[in-house]
Amino acid sequence: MNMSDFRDYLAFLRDLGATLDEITEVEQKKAEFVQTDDLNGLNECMKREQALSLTMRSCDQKRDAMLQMLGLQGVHLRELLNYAPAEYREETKKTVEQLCRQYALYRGAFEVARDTLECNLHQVEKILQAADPDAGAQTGYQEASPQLPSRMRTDFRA
Amino acid sequence: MDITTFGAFTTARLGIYAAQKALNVTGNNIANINTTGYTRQAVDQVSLRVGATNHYASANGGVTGSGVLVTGMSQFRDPYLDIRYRNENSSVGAMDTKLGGLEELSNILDEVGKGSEGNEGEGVLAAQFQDLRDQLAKLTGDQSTEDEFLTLARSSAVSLVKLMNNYAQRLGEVGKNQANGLQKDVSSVNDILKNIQTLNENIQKSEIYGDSALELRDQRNLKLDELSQYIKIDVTYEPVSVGAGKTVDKLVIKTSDDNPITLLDGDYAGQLSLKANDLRKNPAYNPDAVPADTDDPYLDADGNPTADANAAAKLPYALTLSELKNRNGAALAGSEDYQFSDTELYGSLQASRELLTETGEFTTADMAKMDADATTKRGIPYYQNALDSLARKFASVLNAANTGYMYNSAGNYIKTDGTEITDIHGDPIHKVEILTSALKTELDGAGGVPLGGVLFSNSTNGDDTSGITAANISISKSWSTDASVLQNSFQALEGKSTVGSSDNRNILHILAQFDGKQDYKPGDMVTDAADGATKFFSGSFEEMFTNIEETLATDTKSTTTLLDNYSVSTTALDSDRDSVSGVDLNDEAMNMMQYQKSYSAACRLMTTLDEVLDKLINGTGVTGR
Repeated sequence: MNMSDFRDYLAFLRDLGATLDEITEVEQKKAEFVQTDDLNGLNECMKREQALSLTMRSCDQKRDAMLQMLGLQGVHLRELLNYAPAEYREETKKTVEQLCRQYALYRGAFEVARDTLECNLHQVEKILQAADPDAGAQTGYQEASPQLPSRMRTDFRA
Repeated sequence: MDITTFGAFTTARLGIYAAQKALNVTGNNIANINTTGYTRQAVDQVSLRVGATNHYASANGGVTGSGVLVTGMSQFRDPYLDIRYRNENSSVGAMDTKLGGLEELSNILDEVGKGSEGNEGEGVLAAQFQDLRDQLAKLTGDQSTEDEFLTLARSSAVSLVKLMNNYAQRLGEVGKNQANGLQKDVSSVNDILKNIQTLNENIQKSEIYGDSALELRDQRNLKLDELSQYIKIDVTYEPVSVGAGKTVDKLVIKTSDDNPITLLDGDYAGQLSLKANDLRKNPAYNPDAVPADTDDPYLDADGNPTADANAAAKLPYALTLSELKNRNGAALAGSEDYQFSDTELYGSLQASRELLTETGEFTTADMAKMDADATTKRGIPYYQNALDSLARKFASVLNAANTGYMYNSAGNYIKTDGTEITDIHGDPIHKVEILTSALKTELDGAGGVPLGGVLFSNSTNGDDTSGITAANISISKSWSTDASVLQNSFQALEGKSTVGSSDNRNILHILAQFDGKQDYKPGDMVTDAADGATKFFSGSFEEMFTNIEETLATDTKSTTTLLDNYSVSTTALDSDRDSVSGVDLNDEAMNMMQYQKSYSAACRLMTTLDEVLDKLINGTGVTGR
């Protein structure tokens, strides 16, 4: 394994962590804007999120290429320490742990933002349902009685 | 008219009754505006129609209803929000408990700024390390002050080890408090499960008698919210037939996991028990099976069944759920004791368990097999091990630096008569940095001159250096009785077999050890550590302590961030729930006006009907009378 390639990979992981930090911040802001019903702010966040997602995607491709170069295809982040050269073990451990922590924070922020959005959408759905005159399943709404079948009507000719 | 002449009075009466009922409910809502957990209620009413359409019904008559019927009371509740709230609540519970534990650790280990005056960023332990260095640096070989400074250096070392002892003792106390807290939490969960069980029974009875028991449901919902902090749960309601074509809802609580475990099933509830040290049980094994179960009772670290208790994996602070029983003690069919695995739960119970059990880098190979992330999870035992590691390394490095044999200016070991000691080949034995026991034996046998001695031991009663930890590190008995055990030099005077009193080479060597990088490996503390030979830190003694502080600070920071996120979300969800379930004074004021008018209108209807009938009875067909 080329030492300089491995060093580059560790540097790449640190950059990835920085990107994750950025997305985490965006997710936190997103949840905040949803809670305060700030649609413009939310829109801005969505745009930033989209841009960062593209960055993440390119990071993912770069990661695959770097792993291939190191001969570590399919090696999970958690397992990287097992393949790290002795002189980089301590640094690898720190970098991997830091990245895992950043990912955990991102997951937390993402889940909160998603839950908040979903709850708001749920409320919007409820309001739309209540406002929709065609919705027949509303509580208290009584459908007009159907016309009686002809056999049940009084035949005045009789 | 398709109602009877006097039937209209019933319509008016039912209207009055419905309005009265609605006013009662409105009043109840207003009265409970400050009641915790109260859910806003509303009257359920349907339009009444008497009789059925028959073949001879007039197609021109039109069918009118016969008034209104109050069918019951219902609550304004959104199950979606309840589910979301309880999910988030378990995250809040987990992070809150973890942060509480980490803050207790910070009170002990985070000592930035608590150190000596003049150096604001310095900690207490760091300041004491510095003090010992300062005292040692004063041992310059000046005989007029030597004795005084030797005593001062020893006093400083005593203070340092006492600080370590104190930290270790306080860490132990945090562990004990956490264990007591976990036991209390388990009792609380059991109380909640029992409460819900009783409420389920009462709600079911009420439902059978036609009462929807809304207030009891509120109490139950509060208990469910409370439970969700301790354990991540899934709550479901299943319709159960109670005979005579009637069904009631049965509440089932399961753990929210890939392998959901039922905690409560209607009237049947389980109880949790905590065991500080347990063996990992095989869930497939049934001890009560007749004939005896062929499955093995335990699981090893790889998850393979085993009958050998010694081969079974250890499960610290194991939580076991008893079989589900009703209040009469009858067990639910198919239910049996269940031991939760190491990572099966989520919520404050699991956070407490992790604080009590997680050892980070010191994780044993067996534990690492049960939890792949175990080496990055750090609870109280990690910090205890890290501090022990520092104490052991400090003692071993300084003991090694102060233990040796006299050598001459050429660096070769010498005898009492000043002659060099030779090996089997006749070559002089050159001094080494760290003496091996084999070399010691050789030098002892060859008449080498041992000097110095052990400075730190595992108790004040002797010079035993085995198993030194932060809790037991002490000044050795030799040093405590004789300050001059601190060896100034191992080099004999030129042509003599004595060490010069003004020679302080070894003191300088000891001082150099304080700046030297030491490798800290998990294997030094835990023999069966998963990654025992890999150093987890390399640095000086002070740097090692700073590393412990930094690890704690990083963990605290990320936990605080997560807790903040979850707390904000939970608060928002609770507000959302309140907007649906809470009593709103504006709504209730409107309801009051609305139902009061309904009531008045119904009364007015009765008066009108009375007037109409009076006309019909007393004023119709009376012309000419």
